[in-house]
Parts: sequence; structure tokens; C-alpha cells
Amino acid sequence: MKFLLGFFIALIMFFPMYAVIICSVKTNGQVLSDPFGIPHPFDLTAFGLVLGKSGEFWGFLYNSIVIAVSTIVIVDLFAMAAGIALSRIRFKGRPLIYNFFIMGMLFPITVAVLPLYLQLRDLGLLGTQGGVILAEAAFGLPMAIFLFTGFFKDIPQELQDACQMDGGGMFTFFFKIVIPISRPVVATVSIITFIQSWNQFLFPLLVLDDSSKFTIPLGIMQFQGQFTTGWNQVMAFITISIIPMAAFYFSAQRYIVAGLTAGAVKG
Amino acid sequence: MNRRTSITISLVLCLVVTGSLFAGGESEKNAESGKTTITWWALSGGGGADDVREIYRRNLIKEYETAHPDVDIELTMLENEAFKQKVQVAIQAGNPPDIFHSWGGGVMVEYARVGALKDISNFVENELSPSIGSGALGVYGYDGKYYGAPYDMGAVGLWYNKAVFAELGVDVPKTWPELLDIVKKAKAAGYIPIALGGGDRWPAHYWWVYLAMRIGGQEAFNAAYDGSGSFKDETFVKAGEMLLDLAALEPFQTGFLGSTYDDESALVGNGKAAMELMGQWAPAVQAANSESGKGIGDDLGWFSFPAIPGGVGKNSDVMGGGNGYVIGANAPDAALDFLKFFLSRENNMELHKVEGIIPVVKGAEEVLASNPNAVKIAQAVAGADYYQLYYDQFLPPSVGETIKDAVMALLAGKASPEEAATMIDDSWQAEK
Amino acid sequence: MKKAGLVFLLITPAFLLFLLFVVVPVIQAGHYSVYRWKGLGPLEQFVGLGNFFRMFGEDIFLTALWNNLKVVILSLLLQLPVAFFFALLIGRKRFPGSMLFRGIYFFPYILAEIAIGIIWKFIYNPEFGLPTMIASFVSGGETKIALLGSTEHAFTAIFIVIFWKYIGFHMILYIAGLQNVPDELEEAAIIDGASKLQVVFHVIIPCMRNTIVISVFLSVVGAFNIFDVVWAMGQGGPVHSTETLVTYLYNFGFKRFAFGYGSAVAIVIFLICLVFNLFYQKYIVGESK
Repeated sequence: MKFLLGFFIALIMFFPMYAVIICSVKTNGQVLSDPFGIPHPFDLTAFGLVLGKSGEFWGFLYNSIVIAVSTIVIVDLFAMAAGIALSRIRFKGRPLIYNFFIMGMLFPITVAVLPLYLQLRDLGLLGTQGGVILAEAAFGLPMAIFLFTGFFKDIPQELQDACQMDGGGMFTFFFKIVIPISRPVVATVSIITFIQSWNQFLFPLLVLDDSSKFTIPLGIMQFQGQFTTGWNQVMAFITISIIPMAAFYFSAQRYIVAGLTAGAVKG
Repeated sequence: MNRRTSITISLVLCLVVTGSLFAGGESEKNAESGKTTITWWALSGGGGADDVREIYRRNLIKEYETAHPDVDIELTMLENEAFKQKVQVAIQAGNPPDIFHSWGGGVMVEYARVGALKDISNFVENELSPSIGSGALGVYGYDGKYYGAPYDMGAVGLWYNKAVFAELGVDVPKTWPELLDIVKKAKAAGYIPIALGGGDRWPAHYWWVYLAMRIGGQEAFNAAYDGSGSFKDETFVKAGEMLLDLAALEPFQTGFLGSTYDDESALVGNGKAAMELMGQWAPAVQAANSESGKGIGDDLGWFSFPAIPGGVGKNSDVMGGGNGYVIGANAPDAALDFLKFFLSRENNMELHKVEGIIPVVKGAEEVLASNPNAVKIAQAVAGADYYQLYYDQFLPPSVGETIKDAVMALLAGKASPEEAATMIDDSWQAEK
Repeated sequence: MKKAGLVFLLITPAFLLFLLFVVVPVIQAGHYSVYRWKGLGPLEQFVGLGNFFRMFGEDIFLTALWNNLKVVILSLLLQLPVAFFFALLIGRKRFPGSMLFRGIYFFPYILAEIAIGIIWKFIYNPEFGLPTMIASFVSGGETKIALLGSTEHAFTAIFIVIFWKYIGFHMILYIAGLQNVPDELEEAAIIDGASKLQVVFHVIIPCMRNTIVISVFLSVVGAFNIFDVVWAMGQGGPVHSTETLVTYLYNFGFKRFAFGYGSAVAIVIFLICLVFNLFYQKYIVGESK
């Protein structure tokens, strides 16, 4: 019974994706005339064009990966460090600093776009992937710090004291205890950061000039010309670009729930 | 390899990769080996890997760079809306590209006013005006100064399906009442009389502008523009009323308020709609959006906007626009030279084959010979005493946006012709 | 002093990055909001609170605000409960396919805004889209439905997409939260004769308080900041019927070269979220700790 209900809902939820995939193997004209039906003929030219011509897609893929991975590394490192301090060390002004970071969740990147752009220009970072990475990482910090702090709060104080008694101090605690058990929350933070970074459109558009540095969403834009659009190619593009994310998600899936449980839910 | 070594190697790798992520910044480009770099932002034509516009331009770059080894041209192809956003932010930051797309008019003027564009009046006068008509060049000038040049200047007119007209037994309409009559017949026969991409808004504003032009002529617009009259004048209110007359016949496709221009094109290209009011690029777009990939082929015809009985405007008055490039304030002289190269007679003719533009260079018309519709358009442009750039480009951006909004409000029944005209006038007053 | 040094070391990197790329731009936005500025050239026209007063007098702004409120309310009343239902359905005992379903329900969250806009505009297309197909099938003729073209229905159509996109995220959050519910408590309640519904309301939900608190918070803040999906589906149209605060900012700020005004709108959005946050922290979150 559960299965049937779940299956039926899954059909509905998946339908839009089905539409994308089915359109990517049709001719452009057929996409417009019969989008949801079975393709006849089954046409793989869209994929060929997207993957083949001048290897641009692979370039976009590479750029997206580089930016996403770098962003994840920065966010994980910085947020983890801050999380430790905010959860395990009592110091004056701790709640203030914590709230300072959390307030960052209230402001999406879209809105700060112009001042952010000017900031990057002043720092000489326009046109560089580094500029995109730093900004994306900065906006990913609040959520990450929230999750890490929540997670670390739950580590029993006894463990920390035990390290101190053995003459170790914070560093031992950090490397011997915290890092090994952080897998779930790191996975969660990484996935969320990955998704945000992978799908960013407006910000990389404004910062990057060199199309060889473009990311995948910018790549999709290429298929929408001033007026015309190669629909089947767009669909193929979307289909292919989802694969890395889906792969990443499915591999890290089991950690996400654990990570959210410990980091967000227990409070 | 022991742990220490592998950690060290990883660190070094990280440093290298990190370094590369910060490379390519602004200062880097100029320091490169004494070459002159030109940044060029153009509009992409869609079709992704097969974008004919990109291919054409890259070939052109290769040709030019070979002839000028000390010049390095960096091309960025962008989709329409994305381009508008990117260029705006770049200019705000004082960082305009060297050569970039422009439709002339009010937006260009804004850019010039803040010093984002180079005054290339001398260049235009000496190098370009011998070969390009002054009307076209004028679109890229303001207050006596020139900031860029067009490569395409055409007209907006009515594209129609000859087969459908034949089936309905109608001729090309010369007057507005005749047009309304065709609309009724087409609807009765089960066709969509007029395809309209209302969601994008700008196709709708074409109708209103042409109505205003035919009713009040150049005088009405100039009066509103220079302050001796206003956009609340009779002409503009009447334009709204007549548009509502048309809308009352329900000539547009279902859901037109949310349709895109692509949707509009597809309807014509697939033979479902009888007409659309569109610019010179229409055939190419119809074909791309059509099921067959070729549009309606030879069945596609063109006629100019019909006359309005009792209207002051001349039938030769044309609303249109084109495409061109403007030069950024920091651009090197090589950029001007490249622009001249782009606008050579051969290249302009070639561009027609690639993009379907109407050439601006004199003597290039012969390339149109095989395309009767294009010939009609070129003639209309050449024969127009009053050539009006579409309002949404000609007027300052905020007024342009308001006009588009006002027309849509009109069509959605949310504003009366008076209210629409007032909206527009208020916005214009705020800008002056 | 060692502790201070350590804290400094741990917090500084995040702090600096955050300050430079988030806080400073926000403050600058605040600065721009008291000017009338075209975004090009120097800031010259100081208008004080003029932008803010103007905002609240504009019909379209109020429409946008109301649309955001509708999203908040509909999300809280519809999306979150359904997400909770999904979590209950597939989030606990594993049955064949449950992990796959979980992935499918979460999937829309992963998609980029461009992709979602393209996909759903397709589905809603008046000529060949799904509503048209269903309507034609039912009526037996050719009935065209244009949801995105209708000023009455576009919002509903877009909300469906919002619903679809974010429900998986909340579901996962709830699945995580369900881990917190002790089996013994549930079993005890069942033994005592409680019905399934009673178990849900009296055992499960109370144990998941923390999770629900977070889910509601993210949902409300997200609802006020919603942009991607709405923009991709029509840029706030048709005729501004689906504007939200951020699309309004974009259309009336950026596009019209009115940056002072746009920044003022941004500040208002920020303030709304801030007030909500403070209120929420004080009255709701405070209790659970």
C-alpha cells in the first residue's frame, strides 16, 4: 500500500524530468509539436552536438566542477573551524558572533549583486573564477556554520575533557575526535553547497567574461539565442548536466539524513 | 612515498590550482606581451554548438588577427537578456567592454551620458559615412556625436502567410479597416489571425507605436518628446482605443499574455497564424522555431503597416531598428579599425546570409536580390522620411519599460487608453 | 590568552570572508537606498526615505508583497504538511523503492532555475502543454488552457512549481527529524490504543519540534526571497500579476536603471526577514532550548 502511493506520487514528481529526457532525444521540431510523446524517430543528434562540437560542454563541466569543489572546500574548512569555536569554546560575544553569521541567511546573493560586483572589481577579482568562488563561499557560510555548530554542540563534554586531561588540548580533540565523526554533517554541508554553486547563474554571468570559463548554467544560455533556441539541445544539455549532481547526491545520500539529524534537528 | 611527502605534494598542487583560479584577472590581460587586446561582446544566435553567428565571428577574428598579429580579440557571445544584465553591471563598475552590441537610442544615450562610450564622431564621419547611409548611422548618434555604428537596419512590418490569405480570398490590406476584416475572416476559418508574444511585451508595443505613428505622424511624437505636447495627447489615447478595437476581435492566440516571442514565431512558422507584426529577423526565427525547421518558406510575404483613414501619419513612415556595435570608452584604436573591417561591404553582405540582417552598407543590396521580402523592407527603410526607432529602445529605459507595461495592461483590460497614456507620460516626465 | 588566540584563529577566516563579501555589500545597498541613482556615475540625488515612501504607495509593490505572503501561507498550510506526509510515507521503515522515491522527491531541488523555467514553461504551453492536453481530452475538442498567460491563474501555476521544487528539501529535513522520535514512545501509544493519527499528533510531532521549527524558519525566509522560479516562469508577469519582492526589485530597480529604489526594496526585504527572525528567535525557538 505504501509502495503504491509512493509510486504514484513519484510518477507525478518525476514527470517534468521525464519530459526533459524524452525531448532530448527528439528533433527540434518534434519537441515543439509533440513534447510528451514517444520520440519518432529516436534522435540522438542533440546529444552529439552538445557533447561533441568543439568540446565546449566538457569545458563548462570542468569549470562548474572546479568552482563547486573549491567553494565546498572553503566552506567546509572555514565553517567547521568557526563551528568548533562557536560550539565548544566559551568566549565573550559568542552569541553575538553566531547571530551575526546566521543573519546572513536572510540575504540572497541576487540582491547584493551590484555592490558585490564592485567589491570584486576593487579587489581585482573580476573575470576570475576565484572571485566567483569566494563570493559563493561567503554566501554559503551562514547555513554551513549553522549546521556545524549544531552538530558539534552534541559532542559530549566528557570527550573534550578527556582529551584535555591526556594533555592534548583543542588540537587533539579536533583531530582525534571531531573530524572522524563529522562525516555526516560534512556530507550535508557539501551537498547543499554543491547544489547552490552548481546552479548559480546570475553571479557567474556577471563576473566571468571569458566563455572558456563559463559554467554549465551559462552554457545553457548559449543555446538560447537572441530569439531562437535549439530546444532539443537545451534538453540534452540539462539532462547531461544533472548527472554529476545526481551521482553526488546518491552517493552521499545516507549521510545527509544523519547530518541533518545531528546538525539541524537536535538543535 | 611517505606521508610527509604526499602532504607536501598535495599542498603544492593546491597552491598551483588556487593560483590558476585567480589568474586571468583584468590586469593580467594588459600585461601580456605588448599585444593590444580587444574585448568584444556579441549576441548569440542560439543553436548552441552550431551557432552560426559565433562561427562567423570567430572566422572573422581569425582573418583579422592574421592580418594584424599585434591584435588579440576576445569574443564573448551572450544571450539577449543575459547580455543586457552583464553590460549594465560592467558599465556601472566603470568597466565597459571595447566593442559591444547596441540597439542605439535611449539606452545608448544613458551609457554615453555617464562616459561609458567613446566619442567616435570623426571616425564615423571620415571612415564610415561614405559607405553607410546617414539615417542608419543616426541611430547611433546623439546630440551631434556618434558612439557606434549599425550593421543592420530594417523595419517592422506585417509578415503574412500567402497561402492562408489565398484561402481566405483576401488581398494585402492597405487600410486598417481592411486589416480588421481579414482578422475576422481568418478567425472564422479557424486560423489564429495574429500571433503575439505578449509575455515578452515588446512585440505588443509595436502595434501601439505604429498606430500612434499612423494617427499622429512624426509631429505627435516630436511634440511629446520635446515638451510642446505630451504622451497624454489625443494621438496616444486614440492609439490605445484602436488597439482595443483590434483586441476585441480576439485575434491573438490563447494565452498570449504569457507567450514568448519564440511561441509567436512558432505559430507563424508552423502555419497556424496568419500574421505577425515583426522586424526583419522574423523569417529566420520562424524557421528555427518551426516543426519543419524551414518555416512556411515561399508562402511568407511582407507588407507595411496599413494606413489609418483620417490619420496624419504618412504610409511611408517606418518603425524599425537594427543592430550595431558601440565602442567602450577605454577601447584601443584597434577596436575602431576592427569595426571598419566588420562593416566592409563584403562582410556586411556576408552577414546577411548568416543572420538575415538588412545590410547598411551602400551597394550591398544586391545580396538581397533573391529575397523579395528583404528587398521590400530595404526599400521601405530607404524610402522613409520618418524613421522611428522602436520606442522601447529610443526612449530612456524606464520609459521604455513603462510603455511595454502600459500596452500589456491595456490588452489585459487592466488600464483604459487614457490611463495607459498617463502612465507613459508620467514616466517620461520623471525622466526629463 | 591562549583561548582567545585559538578562537581568533578559528573564527577569523569565516568572519573575514563573510564580512567582505556579504556584510559590506549589504551595507552598501543600504547606502544606495537613500539616493535616486541610475546605477551609472556618481551618487548625486539624495532622497532620504523617499524611496521607501514611494514603494508603499505603488500598487505593484503591494501586489508583490501580497504574493510573497500568499507563498508563505500556502507553504505553511500545504507544502510543509505534505512534505511531512511524504516523510512519514517513505522515510522510516525501508521498503523496496523507498530510497529511490526519496531521491525522486528530492530531485527537483537539485535542478537549476533555468532548467526549471524551461521545463515548466513547456509543460504549461498553451498549444501543446499538459493542461491543454488534459482539457482537450476531457472536452473532446481542442481546448487550450493558458495558465501562464492568465493574470488570474499564473500565480497558482507558479506556486505549483515552487511546491514541486522545495517539497523534497523539507521532506528530507523531516525524515532526519523522525530519527529523533523514540520507537518506545510510539509503541507505548499504540499499545494504549491510540489511532495512527493520534500517534502522529501526540507523539511524533511533539518529538520533532526542533525540526519543524527549523523547517518553518527556512520556509518563511525562503518565501520572502523567492526569485529563481518566479523569474524563470515569466519575470513577474503577465502584467505583474506574479511579482514577488525580489522580482519587483529586479524589474523596477535594475531594469529601469533605478538603483537607489532597487536597493531600498532590498533593504525592506532584509528588514522583513530580520523582524521575522527576531520575533521567531524570541518566542518560538527560545522555548525549545
